[in-house]
Amino acid sequence: MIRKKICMLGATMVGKTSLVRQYVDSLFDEKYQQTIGVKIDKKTLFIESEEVRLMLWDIQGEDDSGSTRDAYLRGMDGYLLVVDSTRRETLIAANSIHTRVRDMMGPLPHVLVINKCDLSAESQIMDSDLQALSGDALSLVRTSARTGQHVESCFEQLASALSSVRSASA
Amino acid sequence: MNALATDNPATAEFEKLRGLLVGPEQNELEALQQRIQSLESQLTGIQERAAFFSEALPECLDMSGNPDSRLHRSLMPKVDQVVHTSVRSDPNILAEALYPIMGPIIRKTVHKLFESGKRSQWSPYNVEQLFVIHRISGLVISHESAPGIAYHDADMVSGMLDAVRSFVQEAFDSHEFDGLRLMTVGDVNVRIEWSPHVVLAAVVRGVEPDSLRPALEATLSDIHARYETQLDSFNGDSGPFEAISPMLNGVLAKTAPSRLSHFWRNYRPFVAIATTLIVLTGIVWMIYESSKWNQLLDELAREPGIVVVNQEQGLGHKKLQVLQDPYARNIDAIIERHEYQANSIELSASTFYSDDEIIRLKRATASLSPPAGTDIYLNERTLHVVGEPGDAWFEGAEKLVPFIQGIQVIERATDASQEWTSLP
Repeated sequence: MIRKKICMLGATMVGKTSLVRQYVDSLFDEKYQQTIGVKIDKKTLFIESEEVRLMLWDIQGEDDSGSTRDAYLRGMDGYLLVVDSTRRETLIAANSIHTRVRDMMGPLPHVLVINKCDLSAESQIMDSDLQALSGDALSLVRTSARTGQHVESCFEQLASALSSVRSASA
Repeated sequence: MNALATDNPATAEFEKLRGLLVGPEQNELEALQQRIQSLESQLTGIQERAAFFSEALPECLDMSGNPDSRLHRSLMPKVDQVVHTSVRSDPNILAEALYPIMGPIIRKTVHKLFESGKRSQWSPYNVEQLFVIHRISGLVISHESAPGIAYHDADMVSGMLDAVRSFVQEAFDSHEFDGLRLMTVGDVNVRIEWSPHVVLAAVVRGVEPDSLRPALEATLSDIHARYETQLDSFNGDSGPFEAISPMLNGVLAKTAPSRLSHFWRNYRPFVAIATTLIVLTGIVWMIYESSKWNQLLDELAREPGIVVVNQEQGLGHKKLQVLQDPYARNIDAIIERHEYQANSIELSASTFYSDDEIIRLKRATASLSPPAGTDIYLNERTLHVVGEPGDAWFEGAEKLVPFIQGIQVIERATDASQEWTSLP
């Protein structure tokens, strides 16, 4: 059994907590509750018959001028970089976070998540906007924490990548 | 009347003359009459009397500042009686009044019983869980619980411990090895020991035993020595670290509480309540004993011919050292009247000649043995003999008087004065 630490990163109100809740408990709550500091959850899955335990660190979102609590990121194996499809400014925040994390910890496996895709009519983000940010990501996944669309997939893609990294290093 | 007086010029003049001659005296007389009426109403009306005394009483108490004063001595039995009656009718009133004093005393006593400074093998504690956590990622490497402890999700606990550690380091800008070492929530302590690669956290319920920290340090150092290479390349796989479990179980066994402290942990609330009750009872008993002892001392202080020169009061031990004139009352009877057994007080009495008037009179009466129909009175140092004792007895008495302690002269008298002291 292996354990991996995964962080949820992104601006405030992009749906990081909702994605974790949908993935771990298959639940969605319309009511917004801001995460203060960090909330930790756990999800166990099997990849190629090996037990992988994901420790999900749902870290308080940051606004344009804020900074991620760097201490929470220490020892992280990978991360989900979450963007709200209905707010363009969250893409700019994600870009800033990604650059800072890469500078601080080097390149780490991560998935770019475009959330709230059930609100496609309100989308403010074009595919062309995502090219730069998705360049070094494992993949780009369009999700809806409300409907559960592709939620499992985004976590599992990251878990598989981490598992293969471990297999390669072993 | 005045109309008539003014109608008649002679009467009017007479009235004017009278006013000139005795007017001031008449006014003074009227003022005095009003004053007498006011004083009468103060003496006869309950409300007026109450108002008068309510003004005077505080002054009286202030003036009698000496705790040995007559007013204090007179009030003390009444106050004792009132307190006694109050407690018998409703103990809650006094309990509530005493709570601001008793509460902190009891809390302090109970707290002292459980405080960390009193660590011993009897202290209540239990090392419930041990976690070995990867220092950088916060992922759990190994976890063990003491028998009978409800299982907690080790991953979540270690994750939250790491989050708290990260928060403290980030928020207070502390260096890693100056980081979190002890976290206390209620009666749960989390003791955290650090090494370059791993963190060993112990969840202790109750007072942490002295033996825990050295055991944790030794185990941590052992883990580090055995697994340094594997820890260097830790990738989340806890497989290579399975042999750490027996090491943790060894620590749990070594720090397991004794049977007595197990009993202590289970029955602590009852022990605490019993201790509180014992302390309360002890305090009440001490207050009662102290009050009883002080009442005895007060009576002895008032008793003619007895002087208390030393006294000691301890738990189950009381000592009195007194000077006693041969003509003073029996001290054992006084002691027994205060509900003490005669042998419960170590009494040491030495004889002395008291200068109290009544004692001197008793002494003179016993020495001179006056015949029937003859009474002896004392005024300062002079004996007055009233009656017909006969010349022979009087001459003999005159010769004896200089040898009686506290008497100088003996005189005949026809009648007794009220100011003289007589035997009861």
